[in-house]
Amino acid sequence: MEFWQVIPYKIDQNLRCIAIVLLLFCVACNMQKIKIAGNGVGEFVQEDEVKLAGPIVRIDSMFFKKQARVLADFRMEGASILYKFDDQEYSLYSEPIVSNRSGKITFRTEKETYNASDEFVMPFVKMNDHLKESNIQLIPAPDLAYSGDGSDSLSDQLKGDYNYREGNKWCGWQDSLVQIRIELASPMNLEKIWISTLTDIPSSIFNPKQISIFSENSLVAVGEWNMENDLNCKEYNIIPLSFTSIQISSVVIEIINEIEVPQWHPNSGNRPWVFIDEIILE
Amino acid sequence: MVRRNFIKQISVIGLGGFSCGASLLANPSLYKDLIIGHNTHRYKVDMSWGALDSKSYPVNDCHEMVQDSKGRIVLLTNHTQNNVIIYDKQGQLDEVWGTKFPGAHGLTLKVEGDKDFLYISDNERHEVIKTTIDGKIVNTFTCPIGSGLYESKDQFVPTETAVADNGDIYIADGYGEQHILHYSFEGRLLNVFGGRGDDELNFDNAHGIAIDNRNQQHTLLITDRMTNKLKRFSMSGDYIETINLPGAYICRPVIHDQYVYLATIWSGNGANGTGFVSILNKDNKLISSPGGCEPMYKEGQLQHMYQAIKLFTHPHDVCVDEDENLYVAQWNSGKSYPIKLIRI
Repeated sequence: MEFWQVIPYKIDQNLRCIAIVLLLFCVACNMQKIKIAGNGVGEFVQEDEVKLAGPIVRIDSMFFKKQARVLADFRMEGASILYKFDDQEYSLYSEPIVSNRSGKITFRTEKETYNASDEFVMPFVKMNDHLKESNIQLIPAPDLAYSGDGSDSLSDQLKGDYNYREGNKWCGWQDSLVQIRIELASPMNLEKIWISTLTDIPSSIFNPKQISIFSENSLVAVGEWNMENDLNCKEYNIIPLSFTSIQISSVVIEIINEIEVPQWHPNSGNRPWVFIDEIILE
Repeated sequence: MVRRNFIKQISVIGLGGFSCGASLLANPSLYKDLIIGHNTHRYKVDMSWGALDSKSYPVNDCHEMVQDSKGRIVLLTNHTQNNVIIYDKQGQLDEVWGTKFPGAHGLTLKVEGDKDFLYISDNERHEVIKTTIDGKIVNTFTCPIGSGLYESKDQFVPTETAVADNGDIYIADGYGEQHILHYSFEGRLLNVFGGRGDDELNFDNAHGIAIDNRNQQHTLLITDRMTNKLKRFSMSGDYIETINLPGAYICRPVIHDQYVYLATIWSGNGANGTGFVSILNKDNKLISSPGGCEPMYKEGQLQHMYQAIKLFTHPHDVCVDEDENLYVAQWNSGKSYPIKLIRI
């Protein structure tokens, strides 16, 4: 005997249909409950409840003279890597991306049923000769332990690496205010300044709190950032500050740093560091 | 008639509902259980296995888990309302105890005769405490000041222990000076090796230690977490080999059958929230990484590992039961309870 045959035959045929429909509807609803739950006892997490991680992105050099080569990797069966230049549409990633101009590439991963990853942005900057033969003053001078080649380090077109203790590519300060005063060899039209910094939270190296650009004692641009709070974070940053094009022969970059390492950090109460390896004028 | 029309309308709505239900039925992809892992070791995920009333039985970090002789799952947390939470395998609460282990971190079970004992590494008390399975303190290992290795007790920050068949105890000073301290069953310091440094026999976060009994000749497996390495030493402290797991910040090795299971707290460049689980086969090759990317070897070298899905936050330990299901305890993960992975 099928289940609908137990419904009393005296009930109107339409009502029998309704009863069957409602029964099936309940079955469907129960299935939906299983899908939504995922967190109920004895129930399993569903694919559509999970977000993908982002791809691993590598670049041969974030500063380049001719071209930058960017590679992405995401080893998960059935998943795709998508990328886009600046604010263009996404394309499917299939091979290393080559660019001969400054910009950024945004990546994300996708897979059917799963939620797409957060976006990951990789900036890269084409080097130029605007700082060649310029006079750069660092006030105050970098800490003796991390003085690099002084002002030359900021215009040598060489990227520092995570091992900031070795080599002469990084300049490091523990001062709350740092000024970089640049006198150019010849005037230029300036519309963007890139400041390349290091974040290494375990080593108490944070991004600047604020960067201001001054020309002829006038404020041209200012940027502010919240303090990173990921205790393991180690990353390179290339901070762009854009503004309406102006002709300059000198410019001052004023960097304001946090005063104290925050409470949640093992070195709380000490002075944080800021590390810069390059300044690029465009 | 009026009633009949009403019923017809209801039927349409009902059919609409049915139609919706039918389309759901016809699209099974909407109900796909998440399956994580690779090759022979794949799992479904039960997030609610050990969830308890957080007001009555709170946890901070869920650091480590072991299975006792009765088959129960024993969880160690650094919440001093209930440092030890014991579940049955269905995730039902069996008992709790422990209020004096503020830095409860490492948990090792050793069966002596017909009795279970626990070794709790407490990195705030700077001690390893041996207890019965119901929480009675049997012995305490404090900083070996007399050894000349430490200037103050605070420098000794044990993270894990391993206990040999003869009762000898190996303590990993993983948050301290990176020594591996070898004690006799009676508590006499027999040997010290490892220590901080850059050589293969040194450590940068000797976080976890286990006795590898997969071969007749037992050896020690010790995680060198910050360098993404698993190092093998003889029981007398001689360095033997290194197993490289690039990108995997492994916490402690857990040996089960012919496999080594390792909670991997961070991955890639070590950013927060990037954990997964690593599983090595008898040849110490990574064969599965639940929550992580597919393991890949090129010319014998494991390629860089990283997280693939945002499921785990900071796995800190893996417990394997007799059915080869996994229980994953997590550090700094929103005071969440362990996750069960069911082997498929």
